[in-house]
Amino acid sequence: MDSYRIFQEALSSIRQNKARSALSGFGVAWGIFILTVLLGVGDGFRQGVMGMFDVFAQKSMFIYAGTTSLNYGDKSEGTEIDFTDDDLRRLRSYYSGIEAISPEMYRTGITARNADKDIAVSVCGVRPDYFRVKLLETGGKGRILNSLDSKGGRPVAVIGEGIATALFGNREPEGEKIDIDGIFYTVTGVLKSDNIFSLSERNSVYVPAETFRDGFGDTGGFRSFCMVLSPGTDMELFEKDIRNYLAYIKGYSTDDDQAVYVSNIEAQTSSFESLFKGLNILIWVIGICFLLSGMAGIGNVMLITVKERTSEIGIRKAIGAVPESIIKMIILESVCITLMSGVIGIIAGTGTLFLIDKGIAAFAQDSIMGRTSVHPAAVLLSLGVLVLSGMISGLFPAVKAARIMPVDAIRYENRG
Amino acid sequence: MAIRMTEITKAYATTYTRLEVLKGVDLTVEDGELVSVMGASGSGKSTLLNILGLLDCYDSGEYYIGDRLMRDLSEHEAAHYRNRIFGFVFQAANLIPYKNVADNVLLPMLYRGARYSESYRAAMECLERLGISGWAGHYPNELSGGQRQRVAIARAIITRPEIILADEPTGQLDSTTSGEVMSILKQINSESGTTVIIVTHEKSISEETDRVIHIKDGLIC
Repeated sequence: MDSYRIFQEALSSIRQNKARSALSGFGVAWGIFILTVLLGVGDGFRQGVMGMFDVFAQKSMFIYAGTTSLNYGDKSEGTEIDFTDDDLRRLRSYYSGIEAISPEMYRTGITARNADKDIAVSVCGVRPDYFRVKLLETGGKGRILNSLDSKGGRPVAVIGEGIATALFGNREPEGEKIDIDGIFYTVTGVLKSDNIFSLSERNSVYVPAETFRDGFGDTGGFRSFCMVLSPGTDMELFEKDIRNYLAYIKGYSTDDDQAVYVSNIEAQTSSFESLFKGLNILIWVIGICFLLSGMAGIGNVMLITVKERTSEIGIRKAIGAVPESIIKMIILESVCITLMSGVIGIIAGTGTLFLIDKGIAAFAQDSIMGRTSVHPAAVLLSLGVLVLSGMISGLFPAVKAARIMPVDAIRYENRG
Repeated sequence: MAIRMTEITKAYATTYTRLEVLKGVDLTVEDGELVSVMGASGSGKSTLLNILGLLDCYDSGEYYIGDRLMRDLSEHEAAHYRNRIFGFVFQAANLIPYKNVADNVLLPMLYRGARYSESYRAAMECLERLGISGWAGHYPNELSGGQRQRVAIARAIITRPEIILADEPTGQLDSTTSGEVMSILKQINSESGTTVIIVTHEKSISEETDRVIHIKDGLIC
């Protein structure tokens, strides 16, 4: 009997025992369903978290001033560090790999108002390079700050969506004026906020650093700056190096790890990637554990099937079936049940992921979850695992069936 | 193909004892014979038939079909013999309940490697010959005992076997139907020269065969 015909025989047996086949396949369907949902949600979570980093240039670094923890030179323990424009110029000339660099000057809890409305905002003084580090966009609503704004110390501002809505409602804010701490700024653009990091920009106002200084009478240094390095830069090495160079130019000990804090976006991205790889492995382990219990269920039901079909198997052997065809028939039946259940599990899992996506889009737009998805390779791998598990589940019952002596089977029938 | 058995023994081990069913059977059946094996219940006649059809193995002695010693057969060769040399008719018909009549009949052809269409045509010819082609699409539970036995005979002859082994083929049938089944077996024997060996305990059945072999307490007498 050829394999196609044996496959037909296996399908015919499944059709004959629909309820039993469905019940035996439930464990596998459930296992694959759990695996699909876990993989999809895990991937959505990964996309959501990794998407947060999309707002930063890959080779970007933020440096925050701290307080010295060691006595060194003329700096005693507890001295606050700050940065100056001169520091940034020195860094730029010392490191040829710095492609963009900008100070960050902050004021929070400032009131921004127009003719009839006001809102509490954070004001950040930056240079145009800042927008090469933090990839904020206006999404067609005006423009970000440019070098002319910066050089001329123009009273212009880029505002977040939250401020635009609060102060201007449905009106276009570009060209409108807002009063920040007594100075009128012309709005040049509105920042788009489409992920959790850019969401924090909803109530932020960006103004040129020079204008910020004039506006707030800020003559001292600033507490943080950020930069983008050229594509080939080894960020880990660079971090070590810049720590030492900053210690040198600012005059604190190179052993003082509290004088400055460095946020290396590439290293953070890489840590999260490793975390999600580990999570993915854990999901597969959990999914395969569920699948194993499903396999045991199928194996058990196949054993009962073989027992129930002792007579039929005996008849088949009596009319010429070789042991291999009996083994193939039982294994194919097991594989078919496993595959069909698995496909049902995958479809149900994918449907559930679709509903999760719809639910998030409708009720939790600010969630950290990205769009859930299951990679086609994971589906193919699941199907491969299913075929293999079906074969393993069916193997023992199949060998048991092939060992049935025709005479025993016929006696069994006549006894029944 | 002639059958020759010498000193065949067969015993079954039960929990406490060893039950000797065949104690040294000598038997020869020539090609084309219509033979019945008669004996009381427990005499060993079904065991003898099972050994003849390679459904069961024997403990000692020699069993030849033609020139071939059956002891040496591999599992595959035994399956080949059961498919091509023998056709079986059992007392309970032993049809597969979830297959219709045609699919039950054609199954030995599929195990022979034939295509489904060819097998189906052969099955319909056999069913026609036995007068039940109209029931081809029905399932075994929709048939009478006599019809089921006709289906079993159709399944036994579809591969044009050289030997038909029938174990109490009329055991569950009324006398009229028994007569019909016997005449079919006789017809197969006379028309195609197929050797037919029937195990029975009914004298009326054995009287219709060319030769009666009596078996008692595991010995031919």
